[in-house]
Amino acid sequence: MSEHKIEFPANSSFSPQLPGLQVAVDSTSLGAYKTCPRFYYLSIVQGWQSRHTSVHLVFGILAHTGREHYDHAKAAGKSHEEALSLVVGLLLKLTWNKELSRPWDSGDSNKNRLTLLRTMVWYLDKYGDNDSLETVILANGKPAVELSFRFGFDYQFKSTGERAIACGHLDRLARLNEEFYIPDLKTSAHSIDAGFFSKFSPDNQFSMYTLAGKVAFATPVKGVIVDAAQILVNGSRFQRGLISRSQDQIDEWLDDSHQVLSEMENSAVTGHWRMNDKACHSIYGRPCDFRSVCSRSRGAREQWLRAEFKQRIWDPLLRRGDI
Amino acid sequence: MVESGIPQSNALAEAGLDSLAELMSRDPEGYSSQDKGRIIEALRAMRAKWEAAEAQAPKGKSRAKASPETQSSISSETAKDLGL
Repeated sequence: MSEHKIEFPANSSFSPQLPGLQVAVDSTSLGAYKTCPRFYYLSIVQGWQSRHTSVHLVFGILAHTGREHYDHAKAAGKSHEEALSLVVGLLLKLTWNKELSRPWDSGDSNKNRLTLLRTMVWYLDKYGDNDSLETVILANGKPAVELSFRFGFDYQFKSTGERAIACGHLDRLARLNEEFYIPDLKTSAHSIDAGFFSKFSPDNQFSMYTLAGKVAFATPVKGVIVDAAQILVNGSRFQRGLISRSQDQIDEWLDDSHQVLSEMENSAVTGHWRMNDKACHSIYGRPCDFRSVCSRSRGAREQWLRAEFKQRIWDPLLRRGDI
Repeated sequence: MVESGIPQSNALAEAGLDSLAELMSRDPEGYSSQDKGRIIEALRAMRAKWEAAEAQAPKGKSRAKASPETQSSISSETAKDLGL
């Protein structure tokens, strides 16, 4: 692929001095590069994404949105029933296709409009009110929900002299007894068992979240609490798991991240983002969208990208819109 | 307070699956608070049925078991605090 021939889209998280060098890095970007530099180049640097949006991605975003609005409503003094009604109303609107005057058709028997609403009502009835995991109230009196963070990565790029920034968004900061955690909601069609939770240790996203809680919010965060929802056709099951991170684990993750930042810089300097052809069959647990691109000859790829993919800007310095 | 002799509305019965399907096929812009309440009650009624079915299902078949080693890594000591 002749990367240099393609223009780099304007993106505030990238270096103004060296096109292709991401200076403000979130867990998605870092994880993409770790998985496959070419996948990172196409999805983050160039911003290409499939025209066929994944139902799992949409379902996850909607579930997060519902949880977020519930927390805001509760913090504003609404009762559980009032907050739940707001969430249901919001999700019904978000899953309504105005142009076609019909509900969202996901084409998936597990993850669809009905199972989304069912899952969120059941989930919030279980974990919404009187939850032992309390949302932290910030010094300004606002609930610690939908938090954007950025802090120094303690790394300087040699080619430009710029300092790397870690950034991203946390759903919530919460307290369980006297300990602090980052809660996260995950939805899956698969069984929620110990194997489900064990896949988060080690995990790039959760390590960065824990570090962000410690550094950006000056809170001794112990780790992430995952509220996992298994979405089945006729019902939803819930399980809560605690994913802790020791200081040594965080330190090791940070050391590794500095190495990855160095490799990201090298890719930008040389204009070459190598392909990891061992990851093509499993990017985030499913086949890579870009297999159809990478399997073509280099000269034919750009035309294929423009025909089969759409471009968007992945800028983690902007307000959230992530998974 | 319920007065005897006056027909009472039963939200759970009204919000059956047919009713839920009908409600959810409407443009949500026109929903009243009552409509949303009926949807919530219908979904809660589904949970009651689901939980009853789950309780009757043979244990150990449909739900995967964790190895003792991995289970302990999920901080079982705080399981009650977590609401598990």
